[in-house]
Amino acid sequence: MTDHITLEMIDTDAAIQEAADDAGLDTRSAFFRKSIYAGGTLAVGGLLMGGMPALASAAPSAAQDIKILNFALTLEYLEAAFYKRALSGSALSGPARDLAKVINRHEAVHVTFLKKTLGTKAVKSPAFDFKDTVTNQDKFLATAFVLENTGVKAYLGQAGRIKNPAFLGAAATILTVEARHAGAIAQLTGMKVSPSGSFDVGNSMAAILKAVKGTGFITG
Amino acid sequence: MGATLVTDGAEGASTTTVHIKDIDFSPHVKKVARGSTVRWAFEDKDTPHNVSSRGTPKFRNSTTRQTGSYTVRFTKQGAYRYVCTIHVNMKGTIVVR
Repeated sequence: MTDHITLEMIDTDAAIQEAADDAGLDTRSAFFRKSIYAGGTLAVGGLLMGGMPALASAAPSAAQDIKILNFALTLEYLEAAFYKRALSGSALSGPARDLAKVINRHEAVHVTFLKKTLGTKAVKSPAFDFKDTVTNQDKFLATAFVLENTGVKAYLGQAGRIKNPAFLGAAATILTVEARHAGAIAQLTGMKVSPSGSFDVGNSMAAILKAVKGTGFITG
Repeated sequence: MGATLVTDGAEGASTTTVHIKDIDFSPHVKKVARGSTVRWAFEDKDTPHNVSSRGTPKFRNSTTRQTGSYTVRFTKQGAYRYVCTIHVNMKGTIVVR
């Protein structure tokens, strides 16, 4: 089993990879192919599996809704921490820093919202180590692009599994913002605004967890 | 003179504020005298919210907004429940005595 997340793990339809390649970003493409989070990795490992409920696989139910919201919360913890760490240093500048500030605010609010919605059932935040993806602007942008597209795929993948219409509505409002983030990063870096073309493709919770588990960002 | 403003026969009528911040209404339950005006202050930066009446008695809904305030004058007794339709966790009640 690989220690690092690979683009193929998340990007099963290869759309994100294609977007990077089409942009002619050799360094970025190589970065994606070898290990998106090389060194730092997104290794969600034990915490995500341990801190998260079992995979939601049954028919929609109230209990499954909680699992899905906690799944979303963990991804939001990861994103929020990623931007916060990057902004705490001096690696980001110009439009990249400006965009990171905006996204950072959004991700922090997503965390607040999910925690308040889940109340006592909310999982705690894992510990993270993003290594050089938060100290190198090119790697930061490449990683941010994948994280945001992963968020889109994660929310979309759960849309048909949520029972409570209010939760479904909430997930939809977050999903569209994650997609805007991905699009903004794409425009900044020259990648495809919509890697999946005219229709997005969701990923299962299992696929997302496998991808995250295979990285090294979550350390405990 | 120190006289209390009396509106619609309700002693103690006044304007009171419910803060909208950190994806929540604060306070969740606000008790006011009949004839009072409730002002919801949108203080959650760029996070949009709304004040939407639920159940009965009803009151007029706000638009969805990120800044500014929204006011409603309550002239009849009752417990007025409301939510933010964007954020499922946000619920509040205005109790008019």
